[in-house]
Amino acid sequence: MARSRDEGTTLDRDDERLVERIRAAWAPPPMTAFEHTRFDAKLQERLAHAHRRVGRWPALGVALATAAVAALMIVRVGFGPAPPTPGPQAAGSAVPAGWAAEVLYAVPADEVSPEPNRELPAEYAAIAGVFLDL
Amino acid sequence: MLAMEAIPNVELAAAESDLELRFATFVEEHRERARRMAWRLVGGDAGAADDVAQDAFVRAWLGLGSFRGEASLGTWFYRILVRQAAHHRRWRQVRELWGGLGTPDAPDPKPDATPDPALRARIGAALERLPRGQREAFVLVHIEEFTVNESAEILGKAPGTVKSHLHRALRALRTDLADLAGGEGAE
Repeated sequence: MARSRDEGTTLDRDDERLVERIRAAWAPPPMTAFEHTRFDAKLQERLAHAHRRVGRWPALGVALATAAVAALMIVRVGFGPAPPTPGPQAAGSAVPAGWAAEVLYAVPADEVSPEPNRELPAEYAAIAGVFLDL
Repeated sequence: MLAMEAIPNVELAAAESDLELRFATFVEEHRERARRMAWRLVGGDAGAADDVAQDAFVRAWLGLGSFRGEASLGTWFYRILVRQAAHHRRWRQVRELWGGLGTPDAPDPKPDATPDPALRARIGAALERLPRGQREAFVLVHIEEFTVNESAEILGKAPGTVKSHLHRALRALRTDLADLAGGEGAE
């Protein structure tokens, strides 16, 4: 008997049998009560650790960003000609100018998105936002 | 679940407490499935499955503020889980590539409760040979029984792409595990 799972994904009898046998054999044994408890305890520990870390990251992020900007300013003012000007659109922006982005991110300036957060999946963007206070 | 370091007012504390309670309920409801799915995606290693599932829950908790309700909470969470599993597999490959920096994940160290451990090993090997997209689509749709649309959301792919992955995965598995598709006695 063929089974239609949804939207045109239909299995014939042999494929259905194959899938059933894979599903039955390719599964971990159900968690025991002890494993549930151990899993929850470890998860709680990780959540608490992540929570503590979140509290420290913004300060660390600000400190690192400040140090990087200061280093770039020193390099720019103290040595050699200034890199090309970033253009008027970058003025006042929180995003580093092209040459700075090249140094900071180690990628060509034209590959740096003006809003890097937009390229991240939602949950990572959220985490980045929490850590770096973007 | 989590202690707040600073509570500006009673309402915020109550909201936080409610959020924690709901998250704890979510963990309770999805723990078993998350671990089982992680186990299937990382290749049958219970320790790695625990790690992946827990990492996914932690990331979900941290990113809860960004959840906009565009997908169901479950779909959103399993998207994180699938990414964590892929992340684990990548690092495992790196560790294997560099050899001395770590040992490859061993198969489940517990006594094997499967009636046929050899069959499980064969299935695991056959799934390992599939490209990532095919393996993930196959596990989600055919083993975990998500719909194609749900799987497409979880995997961040078009439903047509998922169907194509399923077709190719099934074709490969049919060849690798031909004896399993036959009659009851064929093995």
